[in-house]
This record gives sequence, structure tokens and C-alpha cells, in this order.
Amino acid sequence: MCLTLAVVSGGLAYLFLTVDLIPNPGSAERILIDDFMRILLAIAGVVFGIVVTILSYSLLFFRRRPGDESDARPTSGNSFLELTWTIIPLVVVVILSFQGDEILDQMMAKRPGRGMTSTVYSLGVFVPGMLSPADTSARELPIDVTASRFIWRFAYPEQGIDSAYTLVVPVDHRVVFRIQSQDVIHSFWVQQWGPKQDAVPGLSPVLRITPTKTGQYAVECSQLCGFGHTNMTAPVRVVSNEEFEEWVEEQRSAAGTPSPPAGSHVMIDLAASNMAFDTRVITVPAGVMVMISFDNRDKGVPHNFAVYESPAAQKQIFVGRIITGPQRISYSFMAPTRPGTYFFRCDVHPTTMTGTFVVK
Amino acid sequence: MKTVADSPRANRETSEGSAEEGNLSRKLSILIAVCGGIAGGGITMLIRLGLGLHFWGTGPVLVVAVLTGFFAYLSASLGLRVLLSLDSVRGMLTGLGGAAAGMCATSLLRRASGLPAWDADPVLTIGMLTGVACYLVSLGVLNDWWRWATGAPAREERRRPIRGWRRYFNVDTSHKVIGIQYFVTGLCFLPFGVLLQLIGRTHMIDPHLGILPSAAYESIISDHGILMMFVVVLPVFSGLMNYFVPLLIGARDVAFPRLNAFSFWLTPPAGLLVVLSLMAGGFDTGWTAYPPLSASFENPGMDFILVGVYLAGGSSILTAINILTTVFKMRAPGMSFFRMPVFIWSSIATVGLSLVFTPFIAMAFLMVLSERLLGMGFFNPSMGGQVLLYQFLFWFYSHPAVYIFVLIGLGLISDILPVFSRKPLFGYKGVAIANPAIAIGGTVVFAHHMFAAGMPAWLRVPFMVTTLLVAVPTGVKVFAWTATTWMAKMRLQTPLLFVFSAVILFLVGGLTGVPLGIVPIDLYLHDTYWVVGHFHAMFFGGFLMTVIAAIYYWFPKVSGRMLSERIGKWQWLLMTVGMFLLVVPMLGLGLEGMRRRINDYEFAMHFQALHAATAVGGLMVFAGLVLLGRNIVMSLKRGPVAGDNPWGARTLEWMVSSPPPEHNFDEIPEVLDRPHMHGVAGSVHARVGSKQASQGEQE
Amino acid sequence: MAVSVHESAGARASRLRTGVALFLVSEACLFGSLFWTYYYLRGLTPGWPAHFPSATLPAFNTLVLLAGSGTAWVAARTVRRGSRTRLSAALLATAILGAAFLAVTFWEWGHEVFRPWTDAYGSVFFTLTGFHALHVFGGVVLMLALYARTVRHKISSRNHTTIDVGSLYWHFVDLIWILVFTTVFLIR
Repeated sequence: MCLTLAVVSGGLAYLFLTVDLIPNPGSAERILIDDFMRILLAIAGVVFGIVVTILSYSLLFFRRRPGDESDARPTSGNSFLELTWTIIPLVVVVILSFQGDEILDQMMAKRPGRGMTSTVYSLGVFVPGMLSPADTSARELPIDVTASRFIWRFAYPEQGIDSAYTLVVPVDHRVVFRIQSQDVIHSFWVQQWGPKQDAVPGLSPVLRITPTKTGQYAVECSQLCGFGHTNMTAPVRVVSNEEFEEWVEEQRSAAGTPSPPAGSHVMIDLAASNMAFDTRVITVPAGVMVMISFDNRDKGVPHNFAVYESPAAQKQIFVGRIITGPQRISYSFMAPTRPGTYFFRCDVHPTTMTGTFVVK
Repeated sequence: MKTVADSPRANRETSEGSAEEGNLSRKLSILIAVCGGIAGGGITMLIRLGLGLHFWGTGPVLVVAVLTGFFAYLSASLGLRVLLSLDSVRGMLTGLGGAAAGMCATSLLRRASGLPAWDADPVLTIGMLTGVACYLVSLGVLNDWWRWATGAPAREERRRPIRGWRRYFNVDTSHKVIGIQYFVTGLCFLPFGVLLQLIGRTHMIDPHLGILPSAAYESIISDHGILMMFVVVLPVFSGLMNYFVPLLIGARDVAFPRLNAFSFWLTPPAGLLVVLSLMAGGFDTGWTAYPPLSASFENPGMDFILVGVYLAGGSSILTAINILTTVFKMRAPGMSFFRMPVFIWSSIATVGLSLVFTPFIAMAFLMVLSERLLGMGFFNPSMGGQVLLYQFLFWFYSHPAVYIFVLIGLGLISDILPVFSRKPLFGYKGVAIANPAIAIGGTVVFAHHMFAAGMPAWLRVPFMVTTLLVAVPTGVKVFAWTATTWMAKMRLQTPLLFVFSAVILFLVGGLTGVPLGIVPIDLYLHDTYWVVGHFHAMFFGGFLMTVIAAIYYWFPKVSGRMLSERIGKWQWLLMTVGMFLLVVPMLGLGLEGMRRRINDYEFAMHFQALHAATAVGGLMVFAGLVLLGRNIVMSLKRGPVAGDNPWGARTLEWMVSSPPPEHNFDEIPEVLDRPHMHGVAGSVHARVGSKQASQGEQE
Repeated sequence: MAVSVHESAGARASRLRTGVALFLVSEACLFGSLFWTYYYLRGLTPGWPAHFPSATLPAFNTLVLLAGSGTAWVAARTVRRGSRTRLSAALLATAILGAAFLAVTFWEWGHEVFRPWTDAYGSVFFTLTGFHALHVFGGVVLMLALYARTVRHKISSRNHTTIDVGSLYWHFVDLIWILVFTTVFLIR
């Protein structure tokens, strides 16, 4: 019996300690997460092994013999056992929470400063040594992340880039993301980097990541934000320092026009009431699918939404169906690929209901 | 001795007598049903035209057609007079009429004050509220209180007592009737909830097949969540508590029978509204309904959920008042707290949580509703509000809620296991105390759902500590159950098999929750399928498996007949394998990094096989439920007669007949010792009068 | 069939008291969530409060409600050893005082410069005072019902638990008002 217990629990523990369960580690934070997860699953494996083995054993060998209607020996308690199985888990969980706190501190630590370069977290224990790979930067790289439905936009304040739709970061360099949202709750997450952080309107939480592997990844929105949530992604490239500098130069010189990934959606709410639009300026990135959620609140009055190249309204970009209020309708169209200032209006009231349609 | 249901023999006689006319009237009924359905569909189309919508909308037209057809069928086969004599039918019809009237009144008022006559949110919401109000008045649940309030003389039995199946469609104050009403209502919504998810799982095997329009997927899973939690789990557990708490403590009924009836009748409209939400455009926010998305979400489906959950929550608060008062004030003489079955401990812990925490989700939902309807600004930063406020209020209820959803199941395990082990529960006192310990501990862990949410970073650490601490009393229970089986004389009958699966599934759930409680790990696992796998293991182990075990265990007591063991064992195998097939791949998907609540994924990620496995698992669970339904229907008429105590158990409900008499106990027993003291020489749980009851001596 | 000890009038009265006490716990939690909302927004939103509603009328209202508590207390005492007329008068007085409270509250609401949809402060203000007013309304209805029952001789010195719990409810509503008044008008 004891042998079976040892084999089963030991086997499960070994399995969880050695197999790479979370794929593609790509950051220093991931090493912390992966290692601790191994410990947790190993402990879980031991507990699971013990309980399931005993239960299975009981079900197999402590069955009543056919025809035996008598009761079993009524062991209804054992203070020592009960105390043990209360105290030991208590101690274990306290230790686990202390470790968890320690790891959290390591992950969130500001740079330069304490922690990560001086210890290595290996199999649940902090040992002195170099965290590999070491962070080669002298200071953090701040990047602003703005989430809106359904686009990620990045800005590099220290490099003077104010709008990029691909996230490019240098490897082995600590990055601090300041995350904001313009409409609903989103969540900034790159699976290979580990932790995520919600983007909350009205708040600016930060997330610190040290990418350690070059490659192509993706930001995935991790908080349900509407119909475009599934595809709210942005490409990520982790590159060498030189490539990063080149990219920064490129962006700054406006030789490249930033544009969001193909197929991105942008959703905008627009209302018409009292013979006027509730917004005079609509801004969208170039080349995205724009969805206008149009609410005509004027009873009995027809309105629509139409975009033209200029106030002369000769060349049309999109003309939406006219609806009589009160009614709602959704218009979908592709924003022009050429950035610039365009013009939108209501075709029924072309002189009084107008606005600017800006494509960045 | 009077029984709750008519004897099967009497039913058979009446149906045999009309067998001749049976066929003809059946065909006629179906014809009338079809005509009724067409009429209903036609009227819906006309109404839609009148409202300015396109005349055909698949959902509304078909649903109304089916409902009117069904109603026509019932009128034809039962007779309109009989049908209308049922409180529930009258109530429902009046409710629908009231809703329509409310919507019209609102439109007219809006037009009169210069607003556009139709705006989906306010008109539909007020329609819902007037509908529910008219429904309650017409049901008759409020009549007694009205009489009390106006000081009118109390009228005793004003009509002859109803017997048979009709009792369950009327307002009845007997706790056993109400218990069955709750239980069956919950079970009726269960297949619908499972079906919703089956559609979702099938879609996820190959999202590009187009089984579902992609925008519908999130609505379907969100509705699945709300439906299962508030319209299946809550009523099913309320049903079990209502039926068995009085029996287990030696009382004749609950403390407030009329309040009990009222709180049940809030449940059907709650369920209806949750289902109707799908027809009103669904809600794309997840069951958690975070603003700003839920506050600005266009479709009125959101409002249906907000009102529906309000009703279900109100019902659970009233049930809590009832059960707590019953247990505190109406126990049999000799039943001290440490002689109560663990099921009672779980019940009071559960309803205590309901009582205290439900108002928080009520307020959170009300605030979202008021943002939607009235433009209030609780969660709107540009108006001075705070987005995270909702999450704090919401999770302050919703975390204790998950204990509400599992504690009773765990209590069931603690009370069924000893019967089939022929041993007392190991460590009874520890297990009993673990219930309030988990309940109290569970009040201070709620923010572990918000580790990535953007709350102050330091605040996450205390919640991590408390979350891990609450695992300890839960572990005590699991270890106690394991020890109970050691050196036992196990009887491998269906209730025990389900208990066994429940324990293992629940253990998986608990162990997979530990990583979620550690902040840095949660920051990876949050909003991935790991969470989905974790809580499904908890729900399967703590709710579904235990409830099925309870059905097999208590069906003989409620109906007087035994369920088929053969079907039971097959069902057990099917469902256990199915549940593991559902849960384990989800845990895998989560580790791989698949986000939850998305309707598509890249094939390159190799997730397809895992999704297919979960779909197969879900199908097996559904098949198991179908088998259960068949078992119940078959055994009600033809199962072997059960007798008073077929399992040889030692709790109070087995001292009375199966089914129990109307007043439960001829004479209230006197409790002498703990329940389940099998094998302890001379121990008797209770006795009646001066003679020893044969509690513990077998048939 | 032996009558259970639970069928006695004393046991029924005890159950009613327990049930109402539990109900009040739940209602206290409801107001707890609203107070939590107020203090949370107050702590985190700059420029709070956005408006300064005048405290004079609410202070007067406090006295009205306290007077109502007084008459409710009189009712609870009278039912044990007083006259029926005095009891019904006390109940009616309580109801009238409650109605007065509501009238003043409505007047006050109408004359505020802000509305529930003006900003978050407005939303919380009206929700907190609104739910309290709703409970006062419930109290008025309850008092009128008890009055009707007293007048029709349904209440006696032996069957008076309903008066006790009605009075308890009124004190609860009063206590909540003290907290609301302090939070919204004094602490700001």
C-alpha cells in the first residue's frame, strides 16, 4: 500500500516537475512562472495521487462480501490524523503564498534596483547566481499601450514615436508598458511573455516584461470586449538592439506609415439627435474595417452617414443607407489606406450635419 | 396514511378507461396544436410588421409558434377549464398580458412626453417588471398576505385539497411540494443549458464551418453560464433543501411556508427571462457582465439577464430566511448542533452566504441597469465613476456564490458516503465545522478574480494568502471522506459511484484552483481555458455528480420506488468519462495559452483535437442526463417498491414512509446521537415515543 | 398525533422574530453595498463631492423619522398593556410621520441642482437616498397594515409579535437614515 502510494505520487510529481507544460517561454518573467507552476502541480500530483490511490484501494478491497449486512468497524475519528491533515496543508499553503509573494515582487520590481540579477529561481528555491539571461539594459524602456475596440496602438514616448500598430521591442531589455483603454475593458497579453494586465478606462496600470527570445509573437486581448474580441490582436517582434534602433529611425522619419494588422476592426458609436451628429471629428487608423454604430434619435426624420474625399462631396468613400428615426443601424466599410483628413456628412442635411473624418 | 402523489394504480385506471377515445383525442389535440402554432406565428409576424420590423425573425416567430402550439395541445388534451384552473398557467398568461400592457403603456407615456415611442431597453424592461408583477398577483401567492394586511378574516381551506400532478402546478405551501417544484424546474432548464454549450463546443471544433455566426458564440456561452448558475444550480439546491431540511431535523414544515411558496414562484420567470435574453439579441459580455461593455452593449438581451438574476437572487434570499429560521428554531428535541447531519450544516452555511451577499450582486446589476436605462454614471470615468467598483461589488457576491453552488453538494457527499460505507463519517466535527469555516473564509478571498484587473498592486497579496488558506478546510473534507472509506464495507451501488466520481472531480477542481490563487501564476492563467476547466471540475464534482447521487439516494424516499441500478451504473460510467474528457483538455488548452470566450483560433496551434475531446465529453454528459431522465420516468411507474429504508440509513427521513406523509412525522422523534453511527454498539440516532425505532437494524 | 412543541404560539412568535431579524441582516447588507459604493467613489474620484446638497431639510427629516421611531416604540409598549385606541393612534402616527418624511424627500429631490444622470455623485446620492426612501415607504405600508389589523381586532396583548417586529423594522430604517445622513450630508 505504502509502496503504491509512493510510486503513484512520486510518479505524478516527477512528471509535473520535468515536463514543459507551458509552451514557448519568451521572457524572464516566464521562467519564474514556469518554475513555480511545476512546484504547484507537483504538490497537486502528490495530493491527487494519495487520495485517488486510497479511494481506489478502498473501492476495490474494502467491499462488503455478498450477503454481509453487518456494519464496518466504526472508526469515526483520530485526532492525530485530523490534526495532521489540517496543520500540514496549512503550513504548505502559507509557504506557497510567501513564495508567491516573493516571485511577484521579483516580477514587478522596478529597474534598476533589486532582485533579479542576483538570484536564480530554480525548482522553487532561490539560489545565488545570475538570472539567465541577464538584463543588459541600464534602464527600462517605457511604451504606452492604448486599447480601443478593436485595435492596439503603441507609442514610444522616449523615442518620439506616437503611433505604431506593431509592437517592436529589443531583446533582453526590460520594458514597462503603461496600459490604457479608450472605451471598455481590454487586456494586454502576450502568451510567451507570461503575465497579462487589464486595460481599464480611467486607470493606467503598468506591466513590466523582460523579453529574452527574439521572434514573432502576438498581443492578444484577454478581456471580452465585444464582437471583435477574438481577433483583437497585434503583431509583436522581439529584435536585437540594432534592429530596434533601425526600426525606431524608420518610424520617426515617417517613411513607413503605421497601419494596424489586416482585417482589424474599429467600432465607433455615432448618434444623430436634434438635427446634429454627437461627434464632429472621427479618427480611425488607415486601412481598417470601420463599423459605425449609428443611432438616429430624431423621430420621423431621415438621416444617414456618408464619407467623402472633401466637403465638395464629389468622390464618395462610403454612403450609408438612409434610416428614419428612431432607429439604429450598423454601417461597415473600409477606411482609406491613405492617411489624411476627409469629410463626413448626413446626405439628407448636407449643410447642417457635417464633420471631419481623420485617417491616421 | 395520506401520500403526496396519487397511487399509480388510480392513475392507470383513469387512463385505461379513456383508452378508446385516447387515440382520437390525441390526433385532434395535435391538429389543434398545429393550428395554434400557425396562429401564434402569424400573430407574431403581424405584431412585428406593426412595430416596423421585418415580418420574419426566425427566433421570435418560431418560439411563439411552438409555445402557442404547445399551449393549444394542452388545452385540447386536458381541457381548457382544467388548464386554466392551474395557478401557474393563469399566472403565466396574465404575466404575458401584463408584460404586453406594460410595454404599451410605456410606449404611450414616452410618446406623450415627447420621446420616441420605442426604445428597446426601457420599454422591454418595464414590460418585464409589469409582467412579473401581474404574474405574481394572478398566481395567488400574494393573496394571503393581502388578507393579512387588510385585516380581513383568515379563510381556511377555500377549496378542496388538490391531489395528484396538478398540485405541482399550483401554489402550494407544503415544503415537499415546493421542494419538488424547485428541483424539477432546475432540472428542466439543465438540458437547455447543456445544449447551449454543446452548440458552442461543436462550433469550436471547426470555427470556420459556420455552425454559428461568430457573434453568437459569446452570447451562447454567456447565457449558458448565467442559466446554469442561477436557474439550474440555485433551484436544484433550493429544492433539495426545501424537501429534506425539515425531514432531517424532525420538523413538519419550514418556518414560513407561504414565504416559501412565494420564493419558489419567482424562479420560473427568472428562468424564462434568461432564456428570452437570447432572443433579444443575447449579451456579449460573459456572465460576469463587466461595465463599461455591459452598460453600453446595444442589445436589450442584457436587460433580461439583469432582471432575471434579480428575481433568482430575491428568491434565494427568501429561501435563506426560511431555512435558517427552520434550522435554528425547529429542530427535534435532542438534536444539538453536533448531532445534525452534515447536509444541514452545509445548508445553513450556504443560505447564510446567500442572505448576506446576494444584495451585492443585486446592487451591482441594478447599477448597470440604471446606467443603461437612465444614464447614471457609477462606472463611467468621465462622469466621476470608477470602472473597478463594479468588479469589487460583483465578486464580493460571486465568490461566496461559488461556495453556495458547491457546499450543499459536499454536504451530500458527507451524508451519503457513510451509508454506503457502513461506517460513521470520519472526523464528523471537523467536517461540520469546515462548512462555516469555508463560508467565512470565502468572504475574504473575492478579489482573486481581479488580480489582473488593475486594482492597487499591493492589495493582491492579502487575497492570495486568504485564497490559499481557504483550501485547508476544503482539504479537511476530502481527507475525511477518504478516511471514511478505509476499512469500510463499501456497497458499490449507484449513489456511491457518483459520490466517488464527485470526490475525484472536486479534488481536481480544488488542486487546479491553487495555481489560480497565486498572483504571478494567475496573471498567466487568468482568462484562459485553465479557469474554465477548473470551475467546471468544481461544478461537476460539487454540483452535478452530487445531485445525481442524491437523486439515486433519495428518489426512493420521494417517490416510493427504486431507480434502476443497471441504467444507473451505465449512466455513471458515461458521465464520469465524459466529465473528465471535458475538463482535462480544457486545462491543457489553458496551459497552452488559449484565451477563453473567443470564437476562433489558429489551426497552427493544434487546439482542434482538444476542443473535439471536450465536445465528445459534453455529448457524453448530455447522453448521461438523457439516461437519467429515462430512468426516472420509467421507475416512477414501474420501479420496484422501496419501503421505508431501502439503504438502511440512519437519518431521520428514513424513519417515515416512502413517500413521507403530509405532515412528515406522526410523532416528532427524540434524537439521541449523531447520524450514521453504523457499527457503534447501542447507538440509535433517534427514537419515537418510548419504543426504540429500528434505526440501524436492517430490513 | 402528538402536537409538536413547535406548534405553540410562543414558538411561532419566536420564529417570526428570527425571520425578521434575518431579513434585516440582508437589508443591512444591501445598504452596506451602497455605502461601500459611496465611500469607494469618494476615495478615488477627485473633486468629490461634485455637489453640496443642503443639509437643513434632511436634518429636519431626521427629527421626523426619530419621532416616528418614538411612536413606534409607544406602539410596542402599548400593545402589551394599553388600549386599542392608543395603539392604533401610535401606528397611524408612525405611518403619517413616515409619509411626511417621504414628502419632504421628494420635494428635496425635485429641488436639487443635480440629477441622477448628471454625474456619478448624483447617481450615488439618489440611489442611496432612494433606496432608503423605498424602505420608508415599505415601513409606511407596514404600519398601515398593522393599523388595519388593530382596528379589526386582530392584535391582542397575547398576539403582538407583529407589532414588535414592525417597530423593530422602523428602528432599523431610522438607523440606516442616521448613517445615510452622516455619510451624505455631514462627512461628504
